[in-house]
Amino acid sequence: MSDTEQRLLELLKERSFKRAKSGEFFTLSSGEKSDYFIDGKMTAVCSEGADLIGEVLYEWTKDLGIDAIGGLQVGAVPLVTAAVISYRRHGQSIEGFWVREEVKSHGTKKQVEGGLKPGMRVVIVDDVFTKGGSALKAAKAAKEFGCEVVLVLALVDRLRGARALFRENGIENYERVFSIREFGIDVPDDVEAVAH
Amino acid sequence: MYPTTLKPLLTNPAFIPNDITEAASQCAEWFKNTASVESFVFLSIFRNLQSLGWNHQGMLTSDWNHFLTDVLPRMVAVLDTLPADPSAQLRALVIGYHSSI
Repeated sequence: MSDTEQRLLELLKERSFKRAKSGEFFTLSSGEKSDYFIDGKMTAVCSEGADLIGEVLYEWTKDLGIDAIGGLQVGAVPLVTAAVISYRRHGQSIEGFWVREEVKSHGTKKQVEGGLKPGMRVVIVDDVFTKGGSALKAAKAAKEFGCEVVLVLALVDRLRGARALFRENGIENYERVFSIREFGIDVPDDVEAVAH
Repeated sequence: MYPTTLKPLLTNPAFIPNDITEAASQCAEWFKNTASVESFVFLSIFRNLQSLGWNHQGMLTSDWNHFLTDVLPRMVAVLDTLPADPSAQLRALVIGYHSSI
């Protein structure tokens, strides 16, 4: 783990990772119950967090020859912004984009916002993966737009079947910066292999 | 008239926070086609839950349970009343939602 990743992990633990109080639980978007919760925005929209995320995403993607980086709104928006700024800082330029959950029923009716063009090589990012549904939605939209998804990248994977979901949908190139184990959560090895 | 798929979605016992996105989408379509108080109230509630991130990151289980017991059934009651005047059911829905936030 690089120094930048180490510091980002510390910041995520400090600002985003929350344990439920005794007797309380969180209900996740998937409907699952959990005694912990990760609010990625708390890290992604603070100065140091945005800077670190941008650097980490740059380091993970700089050798992939990509044209654009994007994800599903709203979670991916600050990550995408941080990444494109970081690319600029390193003397390079890529496009950022995000995918709307709903196609606008008025105006341009665009589902993809940003400078995405058919044929581009893209990376899909999101802050926290549980089952990976948000990233899958964004990846499918990018593919339908005519782009090549070269990598799906999670900042934090809760290890609840995202890898299996992507594999089932023809996406083999999936990586994560951190897993939930690095937050002290014990997850059996076989959980990750099964899409629930 | 509300979308025919809305009631099955809201009465599905397996309704999960992620379904809020689809519910909001259907209510947006409903409001677009019908400028009624009920379509506006439904859309406002689901849009508000989206803005809170319920459809992406989740919430305290006690808040979710409150939504399931005090808000969703009152939404269904409004739908069941239509096309008759749903004013009383809408008022109960607004009160239920107010107490859940």
